[in-house]
Parts: sequence; structure tokens; C-alpha cells
Amino acid sequence: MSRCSGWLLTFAGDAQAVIGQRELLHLVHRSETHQVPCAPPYCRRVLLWEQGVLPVFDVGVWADPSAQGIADPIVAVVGFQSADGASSHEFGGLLLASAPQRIDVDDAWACELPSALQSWRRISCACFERDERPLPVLDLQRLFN
Amino acid sequence: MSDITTIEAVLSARGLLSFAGVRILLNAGDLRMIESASDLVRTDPPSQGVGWIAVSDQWRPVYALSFDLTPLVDEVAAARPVCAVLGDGGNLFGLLCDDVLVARGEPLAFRSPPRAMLGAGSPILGLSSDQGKLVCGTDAASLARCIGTAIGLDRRIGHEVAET
Repeated sequence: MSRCSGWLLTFAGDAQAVIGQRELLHLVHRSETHQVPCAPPYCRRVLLWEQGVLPVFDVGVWADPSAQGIADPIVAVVGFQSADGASSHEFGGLLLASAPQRIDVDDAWACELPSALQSWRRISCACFERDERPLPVLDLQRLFN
Repeated sequence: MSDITTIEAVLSARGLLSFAGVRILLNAGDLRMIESASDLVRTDPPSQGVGWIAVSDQWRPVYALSFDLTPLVDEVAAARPVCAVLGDGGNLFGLLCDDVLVARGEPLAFRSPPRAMLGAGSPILGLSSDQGKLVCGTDAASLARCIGTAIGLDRRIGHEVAET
């Protein structure tokens, strides 16, 4: 058995998922984001960050369009390997309902995505169970492309 | 400045349109004219438009758009002071704006919006920033197609003309 660390993220509607320890780069307040015309509710904002324009994904609203908006949201800036497989990295933002929580994950906790979370298959690469709650592991490359 | 340089400067100038909290940077050459909104003829406007503007002896339809680039006919939108005449080829139309800037500086670096950000029929082709503000890049053809779809036409707007 091996253990590794990750970040537990809580989104609108109390949806939760995990990303790798090194994928979280920065936390900023949502007031620094800008709305984009004609974009769907779950990906309607961008963050101007270090001379770049980062899309901000609201996983909670994507998972449940009826989820209530977050009163005081945080944007987690995340980095991940680019889709072309090169050594370059891409960046994006995730809208969070609360500050990320550092957790340790054990390989033995791996499980199948439950039927209630089948729609998450498109944006997740694994799932594990912690405290009797299934937690998808986000595939950031698929989420932002 | 030589005549050639002058012509190149005009052709490479890009219109930066501001309305409803949106900043839209057009492709070079797509901004044809800037007129005062007081020159509009507002009687018998086009479907979901606010009036007509005369361009080269022809009346062209004029629209006021929301943040999501759908036509508005409310009084506040119709009171925007500037009419930007846009076009690709011979298809011309006007957009009411709060402000129109002719940008001649260094071109901005745009990134393509991620697929997840592109709503159906979105005319947004790129995103960039300028002085801490978001700038959305598009071209006149994409905007015309977007407006045409919003008002139920199966083609882009800008074909409607009448002799002045």
C-alpha cells in the first residue's frame, strides 16, 4: 500500500473532488475574475493571472445546474500538463466554496465511480472512498479542454 | 509617414467596442465607420434592431446588444451614443456602443477559449487582457451570424439595404 497527498476541494452544492498535491498553485478571491459573454454558467469567468487569461470552471454548477451560487467564493489556480503531452504546462481556475483541505490518500481506498457520479467520468481519472464518501480525482487536462 | 504606411496603419487598426460591460476587439478592417447615434433613423426599425444608418447611399440595420450579445430594444441600450458600422465583404450593420476606440498599438496576444467555455454559437474567438481588463476577440462575420441566429434568421444580418 502507498499513500500520497492531495487537496480536497469543495464546490457549490457541497460537491467534492480531489486534485494532486502539486496541481494547486495559488488561491485568489473571485472578485478578481471577469465574466465572458455567451459562456455557459459553469465556465463563465476568467482570471487574469500573470499576463495570462485563465478559464475558471465552476465544478459545482457543472455537476448540478441548480446548485446555489457561493456567497464568498475562492478561485484555486491549478496547473497541469498540456494536452499535447509536451513538457509545457497549462493553467486554469476552479471556483471553490471553501479553502482546500490537505488530505492523505491510500491506494487501498480506490473504488469505482458510483452510479450517482457517472457524469463525472468525463472530468475524472480515478475515484476513492474516504469517510464513506466517494471522491472523484479530477483530470484537469480533460476538464479544461 | 508615406502613403503606404498610412494605408497599412488604417488597415491594421482594430476597433475596440465597449457596451454593456463587454470589451470587443474586432479583426483589423472590420470596423468600417464610426457614426453618432444621433444619425440613426429609428422609425420602422429592423426586427429586434433599434434603427437604420445610411452608409454609401444604403440603409444598414443597427442593433444594440446585451452582455451576452443578444439584441436589446430597451431604452437604455438604445441610448448608447456611438454607432460602430461593421462589415465583412459587402454585409454591413451597425452596433450601438458606449465607446469605440481605434486601437493601433501592439497587437494583443489572444488565447482561444477552452471548449467548455464556448456556448452554442458563441462568436468569441479569443480572450486577452489590456490594462487589467478582459478583452474578447471576434470578427464582424461571427458577430453578424450570432445576431442573425438570435433574431431567428437562417443567415447572418447585414444584407438588409434600402436606397437612401
